[in-house]
Amino acid sequence: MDALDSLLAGFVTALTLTNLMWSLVGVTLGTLIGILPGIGPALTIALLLPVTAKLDATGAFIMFAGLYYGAMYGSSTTSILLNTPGETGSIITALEGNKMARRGRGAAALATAAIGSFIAGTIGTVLLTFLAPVFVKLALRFGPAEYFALMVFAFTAASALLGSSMARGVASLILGLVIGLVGIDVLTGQTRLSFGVPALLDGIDIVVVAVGLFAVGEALHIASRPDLRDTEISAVKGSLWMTREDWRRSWKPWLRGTGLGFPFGVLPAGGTEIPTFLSYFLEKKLSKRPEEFGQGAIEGVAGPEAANNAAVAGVLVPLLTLGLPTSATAAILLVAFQQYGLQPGPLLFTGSSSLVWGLIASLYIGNVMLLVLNLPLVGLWVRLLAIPGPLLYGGILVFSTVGVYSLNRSTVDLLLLYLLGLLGFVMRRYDFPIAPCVIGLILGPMMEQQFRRALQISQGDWSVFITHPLSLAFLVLAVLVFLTPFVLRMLERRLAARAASDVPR
Amino acid sequence: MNRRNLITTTLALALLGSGAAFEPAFAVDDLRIIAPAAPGGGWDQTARALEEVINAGGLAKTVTVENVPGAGGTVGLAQLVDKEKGNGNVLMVNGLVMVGAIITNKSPATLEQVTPIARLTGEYEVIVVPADSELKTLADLTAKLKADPGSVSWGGGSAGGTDHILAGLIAKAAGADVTKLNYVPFSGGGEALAAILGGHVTAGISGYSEWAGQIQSGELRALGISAPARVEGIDVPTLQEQGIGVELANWRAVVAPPGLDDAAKADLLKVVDAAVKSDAWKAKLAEKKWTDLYMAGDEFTQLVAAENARVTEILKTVGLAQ
Amino acid sequence: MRETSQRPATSKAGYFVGLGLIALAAVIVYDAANMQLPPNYAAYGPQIFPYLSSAALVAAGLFFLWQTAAGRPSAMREDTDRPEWKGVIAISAGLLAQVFLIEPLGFVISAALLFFCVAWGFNSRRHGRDAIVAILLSLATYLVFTKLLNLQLPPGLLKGVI
Repeated sequence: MDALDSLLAGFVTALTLTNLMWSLVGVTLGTLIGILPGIGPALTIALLLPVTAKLDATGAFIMFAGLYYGAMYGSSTTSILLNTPGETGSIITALEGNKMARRGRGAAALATAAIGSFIAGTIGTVLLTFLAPVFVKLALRFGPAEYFALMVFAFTAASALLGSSMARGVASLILGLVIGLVGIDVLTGQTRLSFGVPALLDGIDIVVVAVGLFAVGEALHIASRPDLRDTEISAVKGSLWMTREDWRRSWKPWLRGTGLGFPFGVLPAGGTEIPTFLSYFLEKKLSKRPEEFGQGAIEGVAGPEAANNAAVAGVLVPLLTLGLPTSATAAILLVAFQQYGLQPGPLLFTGSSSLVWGLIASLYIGNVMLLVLNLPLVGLWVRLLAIPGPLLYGGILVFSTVGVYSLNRSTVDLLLLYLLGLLGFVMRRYDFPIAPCVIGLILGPMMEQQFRRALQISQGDWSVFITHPLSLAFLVLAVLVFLTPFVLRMLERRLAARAASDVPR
Repeated sequence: MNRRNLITTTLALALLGSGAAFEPAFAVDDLRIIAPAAPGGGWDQTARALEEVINAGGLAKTVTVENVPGAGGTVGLAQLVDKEKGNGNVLMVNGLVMVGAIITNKSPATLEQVTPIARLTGEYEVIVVPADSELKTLADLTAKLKADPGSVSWGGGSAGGTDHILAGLIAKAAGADVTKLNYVPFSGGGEALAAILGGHVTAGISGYSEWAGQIQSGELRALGISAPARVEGIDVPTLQEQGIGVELANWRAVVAPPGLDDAAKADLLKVVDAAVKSDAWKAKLAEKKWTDLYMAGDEFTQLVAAENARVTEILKTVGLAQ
Repeated sequence: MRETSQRPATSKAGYFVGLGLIALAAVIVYDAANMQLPPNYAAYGPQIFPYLSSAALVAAGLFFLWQTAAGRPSAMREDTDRPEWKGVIAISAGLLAQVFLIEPLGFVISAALLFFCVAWGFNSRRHGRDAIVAILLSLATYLVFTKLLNLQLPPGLLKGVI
C-alpha cells in the first residue's frame, strides 16, 4: 500500500467521534502540562499508562500524540508571557517573546508561536508520512564523531546568544558547562562534583536549572525591584493580532525553523533544544535588523517555536520506523507500545498498520485542534498578565516547586532550585545573560560524552574527527561561523583605511 | 507529637465513622512500594504491576507506589536503609542493575543491610551485531575478541550495568584480556541501538525484549542469549550451547527495610506470595513478556550474595571497582 | 527596559565575580584530582573536561579582576537602584519553608506557606485574600497530583484526612 492510501485509511480510523475526543483530551492535557514547569509529556504519559491500559490502543496513542504536541504549544505560552519556560525546548522563545510581551505585543508573539508551531508540526508530519525512511538512513550515519562535530558547530552558533557583553555571556556559558559536570560520568561511572550527596549522583536535572534560573530568578528579581514590581504590564498595546508586518517577518523563520528542527528530532541524540538556538542564531544572522534581537524581535519567536515543534515530529520518525526512542517521551511511548502487546520496531508498520497510520493521521488532526484551541485563547492567555503580581508569582512558584519535587521526590532538588534561583537573581542584577548557561548545560555533557566515546571506539585515534566526512563538514562549518565575523571586520577596517587614505588626494 | 497524633486520630475517626471496625484484617495494611527509578522504566513498571495485582486481589488495604529515582537505584536504596528502618509496610523493587550500581557508585548503603523478600521476574540478555556485519556467529566474535579485545567495541547501557557485566563475563569466558575490554556505555533510550544499526560499534548488548523488533525484522543479528536453556518463542541460541559458559538474568526483586523481625518479614512475604500466585500476576507477566523467576526466602538471600561476588569480581577486572 | 535601569558597575562587584569564578575553578580541580581512575580510561577519561572548564573559569575570572582593577567597568554592569531586600527575603523564606517543611508538614501546608510568602514579598496587603487563594491552590494541586495523576506528594499532618 502506498503512503497516501494508508494515510487516507488512517484518517478514517482517526476521524471517529471517540478518537477525535481522545485527541481533544490529549491536546488539552498537553497544553496544561506544557504550562507547568517541570511536568513534561514523558512523566505524564508514564503516569497515564496504567489508566489507559483499559483503553483501546488506537485511542490511547492518539491521545498521547496530542499530549506530546500540546506540551510544546503550552510551554511557549508561559515562556512568552511570564519568562518561565514550561519545557526546555521553549527557553529560547522566552528571550524575544517575553520582551515582546512586556511591550504589549504578547498576543502577537503567542500568535506567531502558535501558527509557527502549526506549520512546523504539519510540515513535520508530512515529512514523517512520506520521507521517514530517507531521514532515518541519514540519522544512522551519525556516530559519536559526527555528534561531537555537530556540538562544536552548535557551540559556535551559541555566540548569537551571548548578549551585550562577550565576557559575561562566556562566563554564563561556562557556568552551564560546570553544572553539567555534576554527577556520575556516563562513560566510566566516576562521580564528579557530587560531594557524597546521593541526590547529586544523577546530575542536576536541566528542569531544575531552567526553572530555577528563569522562574525563581525572575520572581526574586522582580520582587526586589519596586519599579518592575509595581508597573502594570498592559496586556495588549496596539493591535491584538499579528500585523501585516508581523506576518511578513514570520513566515520565513517558520519555514527555516522547521527545516532545522525536523532533522534534529530524527537524530538519536538530537533533542528539541539545540535546533531552537540554531534557529535563533540563523534568524539573527539573516535579519536586516539584528539590533532588534534582545529587544523583542518577532523572528526570534517564530523560528525557535517552529523548530521545537518540527523536532517533536522528527522524534516520531525513528520511533515508528525503527522502534528507536530518541527522547524521554519517545522511550515512554515505546513502553506504551509494549503494554499493548505491539512489537515496536520495523515490523510495526506492517503488523499494526491501521494503528500507526491512525496515529499519523491524528497528528494532522491534533495540530489543527491545537491551532483552533490556541488562537482564540491568545486573547485570554494575555489576560494572565492581568492577574495581580502577588498571586501570579505565588502560583508560578508553587507550580515550579511541585514540578521540581515530583521529578525525583527529593528535597535536595528543591534546595538546588532555590540556590539556582539566587544565582539567577544575581545574574540578573549584574546583567549576565541566562540563556548561555542553560545552553552550556545542554551542549556540554553531550559534547564531552560524544568526544570521549568517539575516541574510545577508535582506541585513541584522533583522526576520526576529520576522516569521517560528515564530522569534517561540521567542523569546517564551525570554523567558518567562528572566523567569518573577524574576517569581515578586518576587511571592513582595511577598506575603511583605504577609503580614508584615498580621500585627501 | 502527642497532640499531632491526637488530632490526626480524631480527624481520621470522624471521617471513617464506625465502619472501620468491620473491615477484614490484612497481613499489611498500608503498603508502600518504592520504585527506585523514574516512572516508565522497568523497576517502575514492576512496582506498578505489583500494585495493580495487590489491589485487584484485595491483599492490602491500600497500596501506593513512590518513585525515588537516581544513580541505578542507590538513591532509593539509601532512603530505604536510612529512613524506613524497621518499617514493615514498605517494599522496594530492585534488581541486578542495583548490585552493579552499588559497587561502581561506592554506595554506603548495600543490599546486605536490607531484608530480602523475593525475586519476581527476569529477562535474559542478547548479544547482537548489525545485519551487514562480517561477524556471523558468536565464535567469530569471540575469536576477534581473543585476538584483539580493544578492536571489539561493545555498545550498551550504563557503565557497570548488566550489559557491561555480561560483556566482561563473555570476554573472560572466551579467554580474552578483560582489562582491555572496549565497552562503550550509552545513556539509555535508543542511543546504543542507533550506534549499532549505524555500524558505529562492533556489537551490542541489551535485554532481549528491547531489541526484539529489530532482531525479528532482520536489522540486527542475534548471536546469543544469556539464558540457561533455549527460551520458548525466542529463536536465538544460548551462549552455553556455543561453548561460552556464561548465564545471566537481569532479575528484578522486592526487598524490605533493614531491622524487620521475622513476623513482619513473613507478613510482607505473605502479601507478595499471594500476589505472585494470582492469575492477575500471570496475566501481567504474559502482557509484559516478563520471565517468571519467582524465588523467595533464603534461596533468594543466597542468590543476592552469589551475584554480588560475581559482579564485584568482574567489575574489578574491568577497572570500575577497586 | 533593563538597559535603561542598569549602568556600568562602579562598585567592587567585579572583584567578587572574578574571585568567585576562580574559587569555583579550584573546587573543580580539587574534585577532579581526587578521582581514582582505572588505568585503561586515563587517556581520555573523566578528568579532561573538568580541567578544561576550570581553565576557562580562571581565564574569565582573571579577565573580570583585570577589568575592575584597571578601572574599565565595561565588563560589569549592575542595577542602578538598591534591591528591596524584603521581597527577596520573603520569597527565600517561602522556598526554604517548602524545602524543609514539605515532608514533615505535608505539601498542602508548605505550598500554602510558600504562596503566602511570595505574595507578601510582592508587597501584597490583602493578606486574607492571599491566604484563601494559597490554601485553595495548594489543596487543588495536591488533589490533582495524588488522585488524578497518581503521583504521590507528602501528605504530612493531613495524612488520612485528604
